[in-house]
Amino acid sequence: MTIDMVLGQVLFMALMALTGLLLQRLTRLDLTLACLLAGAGYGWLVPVIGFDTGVRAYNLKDLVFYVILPVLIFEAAWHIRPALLRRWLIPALLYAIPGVLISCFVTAALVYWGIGHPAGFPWIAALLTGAILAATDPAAVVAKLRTAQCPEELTTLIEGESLFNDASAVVLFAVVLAFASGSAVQQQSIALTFAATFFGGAVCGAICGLLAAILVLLLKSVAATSLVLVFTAFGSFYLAEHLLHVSGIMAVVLASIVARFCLREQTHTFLKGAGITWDWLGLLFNAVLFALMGLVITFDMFASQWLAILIVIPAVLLARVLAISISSFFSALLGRRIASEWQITMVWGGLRGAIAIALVLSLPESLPYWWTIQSMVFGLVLFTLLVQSTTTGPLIRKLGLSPALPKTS
Amino acid sequence: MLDTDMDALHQFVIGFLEISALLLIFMLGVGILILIYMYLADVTQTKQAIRRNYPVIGRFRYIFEHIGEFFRQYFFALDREELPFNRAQRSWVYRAAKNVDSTVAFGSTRPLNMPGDIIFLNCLFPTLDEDAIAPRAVTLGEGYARRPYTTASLFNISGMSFGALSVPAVRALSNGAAKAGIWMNTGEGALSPYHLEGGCDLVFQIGTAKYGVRDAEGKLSDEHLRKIAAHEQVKMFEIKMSQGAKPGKGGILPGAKVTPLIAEIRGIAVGRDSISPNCHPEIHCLDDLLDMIAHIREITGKPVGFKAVIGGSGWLDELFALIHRRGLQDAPDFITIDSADGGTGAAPQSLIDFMGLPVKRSLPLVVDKLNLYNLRRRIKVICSGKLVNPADVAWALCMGADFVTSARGFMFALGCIQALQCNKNTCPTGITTHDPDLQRGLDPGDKAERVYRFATNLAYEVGVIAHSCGVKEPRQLNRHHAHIINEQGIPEPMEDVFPSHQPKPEYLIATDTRAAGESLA
Repeated sequence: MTIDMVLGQVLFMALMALTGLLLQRLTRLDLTLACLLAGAGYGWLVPVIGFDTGVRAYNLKDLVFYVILPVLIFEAAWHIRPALLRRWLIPALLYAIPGVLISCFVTAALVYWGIGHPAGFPWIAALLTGAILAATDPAAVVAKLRTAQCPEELTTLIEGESLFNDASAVVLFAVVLAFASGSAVQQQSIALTFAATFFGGAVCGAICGLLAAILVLLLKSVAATSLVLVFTAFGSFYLAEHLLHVSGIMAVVLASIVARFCLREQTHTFLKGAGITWDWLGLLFNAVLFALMGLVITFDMFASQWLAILIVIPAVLLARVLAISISSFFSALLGRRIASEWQITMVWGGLRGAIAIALVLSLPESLPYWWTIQSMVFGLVLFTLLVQSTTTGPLIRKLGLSPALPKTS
Repeated sequence: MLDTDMDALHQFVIGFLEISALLLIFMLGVGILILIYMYLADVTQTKQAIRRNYPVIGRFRYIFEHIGEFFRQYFFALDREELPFNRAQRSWVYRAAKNVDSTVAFGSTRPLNMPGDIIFLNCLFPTLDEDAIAPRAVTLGEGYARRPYTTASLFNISGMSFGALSVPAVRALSNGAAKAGIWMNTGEGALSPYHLEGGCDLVFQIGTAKYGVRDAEGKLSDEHLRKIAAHEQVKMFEIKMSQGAKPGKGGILPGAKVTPLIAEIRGIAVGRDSISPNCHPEIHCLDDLLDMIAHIREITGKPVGFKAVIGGSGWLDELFALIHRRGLQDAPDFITIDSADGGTGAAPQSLIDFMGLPVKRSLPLVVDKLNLYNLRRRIKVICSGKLVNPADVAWALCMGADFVTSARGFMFALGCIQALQCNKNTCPTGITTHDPDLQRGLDPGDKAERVYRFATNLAYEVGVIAHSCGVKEPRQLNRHHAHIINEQGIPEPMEDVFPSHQPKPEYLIATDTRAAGESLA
């Protein structure tokens, strides 16, 4: 692959993102939807003009995982206020670990039962679907909550949940996939592997964050700080995932939180540029991600697999209700009660996005049921974006969570 | 067989040691990284000079400064050293509230030579148990209010508003007060259902913002007054002129604290800042004050008085002279004297520390003036301000008070540990916080019992002091029953320091004839 080809492909992606932004400006859709539309448009256009995007099913997962996710996750973790996160850490972790497991297994059971075709769609396929759909991506909802001036604690809780459940869903997916593709790990070590990957990533990330803070304090410059932080985002993910084989997502989350905490006294000096850097990086990569999703969506999926999609939507919603209410119950036992209005918001605002797309695109085509799973996941992601995301605004108004908007009765 | 076992054990031990060594090296590495980070962070930051000049080590100063505040009271503070309340005072309340033995042995830990301290004079013939009687009942507003209030209680709960106090705290106080037969002042935060819950006698306080009895513009509303007065439990009304913590200063209730419940009770808008002016807008002079008192008494039919911190005292003479000119029917039924050293309220330190007279001076001042104008029988005196132990209450009775009230004493009974966080929503005992996690610790049932026991044990021990002085009940105590330690450390008769006053002749005749006329009628 020559340099000019790579450059051309990078520019193409940026172009898709920019088109998406323009579309958002003109149509006032959500950013995610606008980019999806832009991506779908280019997907139709590209074969016509004969341009090679370089995007293939086999490299899309790496692209999403090693390039896009580190930035999005670092950015999300960077914006969480440490004091608020500490307050809501226990419920966030409860939603992210037991919640993800509940969500995965309930979705799997319902989908398995709903499809009712054990030969073509076995248990393991259902479990893969459950794992893929366990991670939430609330970026669109959080943006809505922010503009409606909802309690910052609620947004922190939702963002914290999403950060940690990304990590646990990815780990869970890897474990289930190892089973599915036959390279099964030993039975008794599943829990151990899960824990080691999850917490190993956390330790690795914390050290990366500390090193980043030291480097920033040594370099003493605004521009260098942004450079160090971007490097940390990519570096910690690469180090954890590639060299240490632990959870890269956890590593990025912890690196971001630790670096932010260690540099809190430098907010008005070296970190002046960091906010803007992460703003534009986050915007770009979010747009690129959804444009990519638009690029790979085909009408075929919905035409041939509409029944499976109709089954998975209620299954996932029900699983989410159970996951949230059971985790909230345990949270209340541990002394942190979550108001029922918040729980409703979390259920309905639990959109699926980047992680689900990235995971489903990484399914090996050797699995006979991969097409069904991919269609279901795409269908569900579209449903959450089109229906849940757009109705969250009226919902929070109805629940009276927003002081800016008067409560409607 | 044995060999292979030994081998396995050997392997395991080696493996364990290796892992431990690796872990140790790893921890050391992380420790060094953290030290490097701390060093760099300290020399780079610009806020704290100590940390810049002494990186890493300088941090200990801030850590110790922070934890010292919490540990001092356990390890370093002596029994009688802390302020506002020292440990001896607090432990007495705790023990009384828990009903455990409150006797001490091997002599007093109190230095008996500190100027200003009080010594009670025991009688050679103390009152026998069978001669002792219950405290005399006192009637407020007798002959002037349609429904006067009669009570025998000595020691009552001073004003703390709902909002400043948490829900469980108000409920515990209400239930405890009902059981002990004492009254509870609502504070200026209006009457909540939690005040009424226990069924105790209530004194409704009217603050400058008229919470609970205001119309839409914030003026006093007769209709609301009637509604409040219709509660049988509300026995008296108290106009709050100034507060001990901050005489001369009003307050702002931040919008964030105005929950729907508080808004409804107080009669203000949800989520908006609510301002308490530093003075009642309709009271500009003494005539206005008496008009207002007469008006409220007329509407409610219940005794009305006012609460003030005494500072400049010339106005007392003017007020009492004015009362004689207008007639006794316009007089306040009671005056509540607030000490100037502050309570739970947040206030600027200069006002808490320096503004207004403490009750040690203001109580004798007011009682003397009342005697001078021969109004002592018409106007009852309630005094408050750091009086939480039996000796404090007995002092106030000697000095001439009819009732003593306390807020912080009852807070100790509720479990207050004097963490001094009342204004921060972080009260660790759940008394002055809206944080439901912190409120959870406060069980209203148990604490109501403690409030009851504190009130009754205190009244009992005031009785003990009275009986040792040779009188039959606490309200018979007077200035002849105590000495005050002078600057040489020698007790001196209280009567010499604060001589009792006889009524001026011009007021004596007028009121006595009027009183005689009334008793005939």
